[in-house]
Amino acid sequence: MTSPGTVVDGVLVDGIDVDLLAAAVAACPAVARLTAGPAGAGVYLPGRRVAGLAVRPQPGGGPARVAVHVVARAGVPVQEVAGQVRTAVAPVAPGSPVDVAVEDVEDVEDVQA
Amino acid sequence: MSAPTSTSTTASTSSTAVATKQDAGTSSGTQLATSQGRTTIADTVVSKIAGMAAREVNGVYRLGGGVARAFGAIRERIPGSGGPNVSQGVSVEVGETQAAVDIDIVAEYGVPIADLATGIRRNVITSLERMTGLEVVEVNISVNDVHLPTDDDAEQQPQQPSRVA
Repeated sequence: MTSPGTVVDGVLVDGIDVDLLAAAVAACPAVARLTAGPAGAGVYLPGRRVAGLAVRPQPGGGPARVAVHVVARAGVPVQEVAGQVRTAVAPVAPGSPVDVAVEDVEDVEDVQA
Repeated sequence: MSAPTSTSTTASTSSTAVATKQDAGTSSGTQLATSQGRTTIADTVVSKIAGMAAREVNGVYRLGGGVARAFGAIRERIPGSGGPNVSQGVSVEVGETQAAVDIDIVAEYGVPIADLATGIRRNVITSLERMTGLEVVEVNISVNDVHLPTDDDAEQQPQQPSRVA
């Protein structure tokens, strides 16, 4: 839906490269994929949505708060998922508080199929 | 409120464009008031840019509220009206260096409205500041309605072709 001629900024949202962030989270071994979940979490950009991420500026200033919604791999403890996600987010969004929401667990049958 | 009232200012933008271009290399770049002349931007320009920027954000179904849309539906049918109004649902206030924007939208169902509003605000401010050089002081967004997937069915039914010859 992006129309030609309208100036669109890059993917920097409050100083955070959201595409890089999404790639970093998706690369975590404990993460099956990012998901928008039932609440439709995402960064709403012109013409597209980066699903499963939310970057919200903090009222008092400072680094923006990052929310990550993921589907975990089967058999991985949730704590470990959160730990991996936080480790992945840290270099892309330094100093940002990270809220991790595990929305679902990948079905074992899906993996075997 | 967003009616194209200030037509006299549009002509002057082209004549002072040279001055701003010369200035761009030296000082802060996007200054509208320079020593070689002043650049004025009409309300219509700002409302169109803001309208386009808001509408292209994912999750916005369309722009406008109840009254604006009802009026727009009639307006589109009047010959010579120029079709759909890009700045429908957008009202602006433009000063010499600053602008304030009010936008009415219809959101898509299932979208977190606070995050959507943040996205709209970000895109409107970036587009306006980049294209006009005006400082955007505020972007007020009012969500007038949520578009449900079932609304589409209701709208498309009258368009079905007649079953009888």
